[in-house]
This record gives sequence, C-alpha cells and structure tokens, in this order.
Amino acid sequence: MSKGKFITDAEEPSESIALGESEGIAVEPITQWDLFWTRLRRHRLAMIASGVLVLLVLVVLAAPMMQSAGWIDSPVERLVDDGGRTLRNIAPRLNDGTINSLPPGGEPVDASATALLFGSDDLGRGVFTRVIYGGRASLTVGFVTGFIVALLGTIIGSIAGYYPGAVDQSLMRFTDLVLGLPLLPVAIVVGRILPEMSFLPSWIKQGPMGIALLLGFLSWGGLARIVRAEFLSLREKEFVEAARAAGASDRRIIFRHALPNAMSPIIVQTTLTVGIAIVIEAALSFLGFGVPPPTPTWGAMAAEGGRLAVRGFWWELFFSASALVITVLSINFLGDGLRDALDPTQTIERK
Amino acid sequence: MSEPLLVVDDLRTYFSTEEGIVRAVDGISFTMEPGQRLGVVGESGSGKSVTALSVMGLIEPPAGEIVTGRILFKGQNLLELDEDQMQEVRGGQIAMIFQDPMTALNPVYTIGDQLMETILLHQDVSRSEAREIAIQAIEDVQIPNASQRMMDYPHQYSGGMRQRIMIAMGLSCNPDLLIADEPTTALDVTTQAQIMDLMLQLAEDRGTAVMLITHDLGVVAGFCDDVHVMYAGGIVESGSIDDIYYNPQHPYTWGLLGSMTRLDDAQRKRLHSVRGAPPSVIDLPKGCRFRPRCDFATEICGEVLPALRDVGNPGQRAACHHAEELDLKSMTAGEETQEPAVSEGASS
Amino acid sequence: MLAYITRRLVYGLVTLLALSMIVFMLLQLSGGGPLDRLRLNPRMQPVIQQLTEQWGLDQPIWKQYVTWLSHYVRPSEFSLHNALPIIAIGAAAAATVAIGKFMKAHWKGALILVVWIVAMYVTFTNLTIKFDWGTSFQGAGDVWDLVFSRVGATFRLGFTALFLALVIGIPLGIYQAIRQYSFFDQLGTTGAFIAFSTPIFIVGVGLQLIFALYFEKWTGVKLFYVAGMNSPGYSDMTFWQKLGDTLQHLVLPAVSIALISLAGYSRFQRASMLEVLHSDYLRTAKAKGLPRSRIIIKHALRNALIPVVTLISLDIAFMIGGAIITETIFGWPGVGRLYIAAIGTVDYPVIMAIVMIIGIGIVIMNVVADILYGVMDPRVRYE
Repeated sequence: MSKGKFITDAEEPSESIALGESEGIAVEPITQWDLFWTRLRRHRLAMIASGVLVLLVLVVLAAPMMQSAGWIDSPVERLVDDGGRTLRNIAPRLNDGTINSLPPGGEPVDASATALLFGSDDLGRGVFTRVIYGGRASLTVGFVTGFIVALLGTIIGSIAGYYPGAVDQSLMRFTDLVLGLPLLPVAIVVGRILPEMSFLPSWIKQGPMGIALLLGFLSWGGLARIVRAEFLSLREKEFVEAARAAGASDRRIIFRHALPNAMSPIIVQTTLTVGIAIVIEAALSFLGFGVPPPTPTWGAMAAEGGRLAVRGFWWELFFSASALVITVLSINFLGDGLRDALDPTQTIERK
Repeated sequence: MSEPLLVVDDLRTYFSTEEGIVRAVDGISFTMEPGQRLGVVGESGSGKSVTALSVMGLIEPPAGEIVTGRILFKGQNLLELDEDQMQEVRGGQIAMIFQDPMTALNPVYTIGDQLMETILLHQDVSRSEAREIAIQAIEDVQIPNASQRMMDYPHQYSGGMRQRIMIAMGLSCNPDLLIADEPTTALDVTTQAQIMDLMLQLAEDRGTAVMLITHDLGVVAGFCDDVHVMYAGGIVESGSIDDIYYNPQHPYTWGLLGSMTRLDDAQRKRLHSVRGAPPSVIDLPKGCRFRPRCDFATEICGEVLPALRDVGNPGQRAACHHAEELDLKSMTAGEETQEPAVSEGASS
Repeated sequence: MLAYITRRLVYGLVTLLALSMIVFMLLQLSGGGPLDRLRLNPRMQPVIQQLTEQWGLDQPIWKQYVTWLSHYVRPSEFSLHNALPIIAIGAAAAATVAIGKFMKAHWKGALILVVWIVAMYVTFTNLTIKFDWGTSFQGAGDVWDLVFSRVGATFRLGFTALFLALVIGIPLGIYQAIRQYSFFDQLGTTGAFIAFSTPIFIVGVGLQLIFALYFEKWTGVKLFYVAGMNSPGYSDMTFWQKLGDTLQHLVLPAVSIALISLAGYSRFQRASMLEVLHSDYLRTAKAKGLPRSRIIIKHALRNALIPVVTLISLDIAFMIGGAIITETIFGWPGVGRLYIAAIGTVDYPVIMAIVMIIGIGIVIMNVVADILYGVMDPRVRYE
C-alpha cells in the first residue's frame, strides 16, 4: 500500500517545487474517474482484495446452484451419522467415540467430491459447504447494513448540513443520541430477544436480515456526522454559492453539486462499515445471539469449532475463522485503497 | 574586497518522485556579500525556495538530495558539515523566515517559549537573560506590551503579528544571513509593506545580509540591491536592480517586466503576460528551457542550453544566446507579438 | 467552559434516558414475562409475589419503567465517613482554578488532572453509597453488590490491556512515522491491518488454544490457564506465587484485547505523528537549529499526542462493554461475563444495571476527553 501514498508524501516536505503547476503545459482532459482508477490500480493490495471479494460474492451467490449441481452438499445435511455406526459412510474411528468430526479430505460414501474438503463438524455436516453458506449470511449482513448506513447517513447528514438552524440541531441531537448507544451491548440484547418477537415476520426473525437491520439502524451516526461536516464546508464553497446565485433549486444543489463532492467520504466510510458489520454479526453469532441455527454463520461455526478444537479437531474453527479474517481484511484493504484513490491529500482520519 | 559571505557553486538539488527525477535546482551559482540585499525572483516551481532550503540544509533525503555543488558560508562548505555543526549554523548564523506565518509557529507553546528556545540554543546566556533578549526582540518588531505578549499562544496573534514574531525569532541571534521565503505573500497588502520595511530596517541595523525570495518583481524593486531571476531550476539573469529594470537582457525577465503594472509609465498600455506555462522540471526541453515560451527563439535555442555570461551593463549577466542582438529595453513587451496572451503563465 | 461541560452532561443525561427506555422496552418485547422462568420453580412463589409488588410488574410498561427509574437513581445507603479531606480537596481544586490564569496550559492541565484523581480517590474511600438497583430475578442477590463485585476484575483486565497497547502501540506508531516507508513501517502497517481485521473472538480462542491448551499438551509445561482469574488455592500462596498465578491467568485475555487496540493506537499515532512531522512549525523548529531529538520530543510529540489522549479516554469509556467477548472466552469473572449470563436468562435488573453503567461510563469519559483536549491544545475554545 505504500505506492498509493507516495504522492502525498512528495507534496508535503517540498511543496515549493509545485509539481502540479508545472504539469500544465500539456493539458489533457483527465476526468476524476480516470484519476481514481489510476490511483486505485496502483494500490496493489486493494486490487487483490477486490479480486478476492468478487470471487467470494460469486461463490456465495452460486451456492444454491452449486448445491443442485451436486458440487457441494446441503449446509444442514448430515454426511456422517450421529451414532457413527451405519448410514451412508464409514464412521471415523476417533479416540472419542461420540464425535463424528471428520478431518479434511476424509471421504464419506455417497456424497459429492467436495463434501469433506474441509472435514465435517461433530454433527457430521460438511464444513466446506457450511463455510460457503456462512459467507451468504456474513455478506448479506455486511451489504444490507452498508446500504442502510449509506442511505440513512447520507440523507440525515446532508439534510442537517444543508439546513442549518433548528433542523440541523434536532437532527444532530438525534444522531448524537444514536452514537451514544453502546453498540455491542444493545445489539446483544436485541439479538437475544429477536427470535422471541412474535410480531415480526419470520424472514426478519430467523435470517441474517434481522441482524443487518439492527446493525444498520444502530451505526449510521458516524457517516451522518461526516456527511454533515462535508456539506457544511461545501456550503461555503464558491461553486455552490454560484449555483445558488444562478437560481438553482435546493434539490438541484444537493444532488448535482454538494452530493458528488461528498461522495468520497461516503464511499470510504460505507466500505469500512461493511467490514465492521460483518465482524459484529460474527461476534453476535459467536456469543449465540446472532443468526439462529441451523443457518450456518462463520461466528457460530467458530464458536462450535472452538469447542471441537479443544479436543484436537481444529478444522471447523480454522476454516471458518480464515474465511472471516480474509473477507474482513479484503474489505479493509479495499477501503484503504479507495481512501487513497479518492482523496490523496487526506493523511489523518479523525472522529 | 572582503571574503564573500555566501558562495553557491554549481548547486544541483533533485527530488525523486513517482513520475521521475525532479531537477528543482539544476546548476546554479551565485555569491552574496555581507550586508547585501539579494532578491531571488521566479515563478512557482522555478527552484527559488529549494535553493533556500538547500542553503539551510533542510533538504531531506530520501525524497530530496543535493547531488553536486558547494555552498561556502564564510569560507566553510556547509555540505561537508555534520548534523551537529549544521545545527550551530541554522538559526544562529543563517536564519530563515517562511511564507505562511499562520502555521509556522508551534500552536502548543507560548511565543516567549519559542523565542527563548532559539536564544538559549545559540547564545550562552541564562534563562532570565534570554527572557530579556526575547522581550527586546519583540519590542524591536514593534509589538507593544512585549512582556505580557510573551505568555500568549500563537493563535492569539494575527497573521502580521506572527510574521513579526518570526522576524524577531530569526534576528534574535544576530545571524549573518537572513533568508526570507515569500515573507509577505500570505499577508494583506497594507501589512506587507510594513513588514518588509521593518524586516529590512532591522537587518540593516544588525548588518545582516538578506536573501529575499519572491515571485513579485515589485517587492524586489523596493527592497533589494541585486536580483537573480530564476527559471526552471536555473538562474537566467542577474544584476543590479537598475540593470534588470531598465536594461533587461533575457526575454523572460523582459516578459516579467511587461506583466507588471508600473506607476512610472507615462503611456497606459495593455499588460503583457508571458505566454504558456513553465515547463515540467521532470521533462525539461532540450536546449534553452525558456525556448517554448520565447518569442525570439531560433534554431540554436533548441540545441544548446545557454550559459550565464556577462552581457549588458558591467556586472550584469544573462543566459540567452541572443542577448546582444536583441534590444529588449527599447521594445515594449506585449506589442511585439501578435499572439494573444495566455493569462495563467504570468507570475503566479 | 463550565457552561459547556454542563451542556454536555445534560445531553449525556438525555442519551442515558433514551438508552434506558430503549433497552427496557426491548426487554418487554421478548416472549413471556420476566418471571416466567421463576414460575417453573414452585418454591419461588413468594419471591415472585414480592417482586411483582415491588416492581409493579402487573402494571403497564410505562409505569414499570417509572418504577424502575425511580429506584435506579435513589440511593439506598449513603454515608460520608469524613467530610474534611473532601472539603480540603475541593478548596485545592478551587485554588487551582483561581491561580490557573498565571500558569502555562499544560501545567494547569496536569495539576487539574492530579487534583481530580486525588479528589476521586479520597471521596470514594470516605464514602459509602449504594443505589437500589433491585434484586436479580435469577436469585443472584442484590444487583448493586453483584455488579460492583465484578467491576474490579473487568478493570484489572481492561487496564492491563490498555497499558500493553499504549506501551507498545504509541512508540511503534511514532517510530513508524519517523521511518516512514521503511521496511519496518510497511511491516507494522500490514500487521496492524491484519490485527484490525481479526475479530477479537478469533484472537482470544486462538491464543487460548495454542498457548493454554496445545502448549501444555505438547510440552507438558503449564504456561497459562485456560480460564478464570485465580487458582482455587490462591489465598494460601506466597506473594510470588500469587503474582505468578495472577499473570498466568491474566496474560492471555489481556493480550487478546491489547493486540487489536494496539493496532489501532499504532495506526492512529502514526497518522497523527506524520501530520505533525510535515507541518510548517516543525520546519521552523529545524530552521532554528534544534537537534533532531529535541524536535521530535518537544515539538512533534507534544502535538501528535493530543488526538491520542482523547482516544485513550474513549477507550476507557468502552472498557466495561468492550471486554464482553474476551471475558466470555476466558471465563473471566467480570461485568461482561455477568452481562452475557444475565442476557441468557433475561435477568432484567442485571441487564439494565450493566447497560446503564456502560452508558454512564461513556458519557463521563466523553466529557473527560473534551476537557483533556482543551487542556492539551491551547487553541481549543469551549463555546
């Protein structure tokens, strides 16, 4: 990631050499988009990270198709029988007879070739399949939370920043209030009682959507503050004044002038929020207050895998934790690359 | 004649960036006498600030590097000094004032703290003596209530006041040379002249030589004895103020003069501007660096980089192949050429 | 400044009210009443009756909330053993403020901080105060006593982790900034990114498995304990044994918290130091002829630490809530683990008490962070 930041460095200690001005002799129309791409491509880790993420999204989206094609099995199907005696495979001979956790590469009769690529858990379910389906839950939570945060944060932040006075004050008090709520403790309470809320439709109660909605509504405050600050400073800029003087409507100014200029913090902040949401969902599931079983999630698998690993069966923990870390790491690298590409002058992130 | 105060000999300071090597200062030589007031004029990126930073030893590797050259200060090559010896010179014998007074002072220490720090560093005095010197220095730059204002923080001072403090700090150790890098550019016009007058008066009282770096020929005209005009990392013309003003030998100088408003001009004519923009100091054109913007360029200008040589009045030097043929002083810039002037090329 | 702090505290109170209402209402939404689990036990019948009357559980929700709130803020015990030292400290504080005009900002700040800490200490040692936070629905006793018996363990873990993170993270960030783009800097940056992206439960479980379980299995040497804060025979041990036993329990959970916050501190310190290193006033300091070490220590550090100090206070604010996962993994008898246990059994009074403690901590530390920022940076004005 050093390369992307080099520009910033060259500017600072010796601004007097004024590279920017001396380039003027051959003025080619370089769009912001071109500039953004050039900078992002230079950020090697961000490029690798986006590759990983695209692959992950494709695999996760294709999971049901892969299942019907027989490449992976059902996330809740048992490949190994409870008692470890009969059914359609050879029970593993482990020193603890009650556990049917097969190591990676162990091959049950009658299942797909990839079935035990990552081994199986103690209920005899294939870890490989469950890691892929766990990705569905994690990415759903990440993207839906990111979407809600981007939407709420942008709307509330831009309205507050554009209409100073009573509107701004009341919206910001509300934002402060939401920001003041301790995220994890409150999320734990909601995660605990979510399945018991009988009045909610089951797609909220049982799937990752409920957690995503919860995290989204709890974590838009930071972005709203950033967008508001951006709007406040944009209000003073000449081009917004000029647009206003030219008689542009408020809506036009917000959407055509102010919002595009506030875009980079929105994109960067939203990317980072996706990573944070995935981590928190995993933590909730790890504690047992996240997406309820039998839906596989990486957090719940890590908790279960941890208990198995105590007895030496390390694979469920290893593969679910690796999937989680690689995903979050990729998102954070992408966020870093986007920050460098969108705003190379920004050296420090505050608040 | 006494030993010169400062001799810069074939100084080359390069910066390495992603796009390539930036030849910010590319082979400049000049001499300064004790007490001299020297103006260094040029557009942004001409290398004038980098020259100053090179003399101060403030070029930081690995980004920037002094590739070749000698900087003799009172006969001693500054480039051969180690860091400890250089610290003695910096602030003690050569002081520097920067462009933006709003950010040049440390926000978390009081003015008194920062002034006394310099004094204690370079003079063998006690704290209370240093305090006296600092108060005197603040009074010298005409800030009333000095002992009270010692305890104030920079943010409690206005921009002009802060630049006065910077001057006080620079001169507090009676340096032999004061380098002022665009000291008034960030200030409003009414303050500019006051600050310049004050700085030069104080320097004269102490016999301090001043190197004034600016993009403004007008400022130089008012305050300096001699001028170097820099363009794209090199000196293109040097001489006394009068030589440069009334007998310019280099088309660039001539162009710059044409772009100035002059009150002594009887005829009201259109302001001229040097067309085009300065070249990138990464991709310097072959031959004369000013050629792409020059109205008088010929074939040789595209081949050979002209050296600085004696032309015009005694002591005047310029780097132009055609200096003798061109009678620039009788021409008025802007009327010679038909091309419309490009506005952004002029002084920035 | 006083007006500013008062306003911040009022906003904080509103946030706390909202927090308590939200959590209180949420708890009501869970299926079944709070006492459903107790009803399964016939012996609990009189207890249920008493609790129902005391908390008005047969009343509408808003009435229950008002009942809870009035209990929560009402001290059930209050006695001041010795008022004299507190008055003395108060006078000292007033004197500090009075003579503060003639002092440099950072001395004044340091003095206020010292007086403040001493005042807190003296007050707490001379004061017995207890609030009526109710009785655990799960029969674990008085909530105030229950929660405060756990706070010490959480603070022990939290401050050890904070100490580790600061002692390693801040010098690391400074060094990285000074040697920007060196191999070490790149290594630190990549390492910080990986630590940052690893959820704490993975770090915790990983450390626990490798250093407490597998290590003993492979080598036969007991390096660290898997869980708990002290061994059973702790009270009979000699001082050195006690110390060893404490460390054997403390190191792993503290390191797992510290690893992630260390990454945060080093990143933050690096960024803030870089900004200062490229500032004009640092160039002025160099032009003055100051030695490099003085430039870094006096001019750069003083400025670069300002944002980090506020980060530390916010970190302390989240200490109680932040250790929930780690305490659960390592069986650490702190507030976080109590919280998870209470959540599991929907033990209303305990959940409410802990949520409120976390909220109060955040409000107070936010104000402290603001004050510290103002003390360290003379440019800050409170309006």
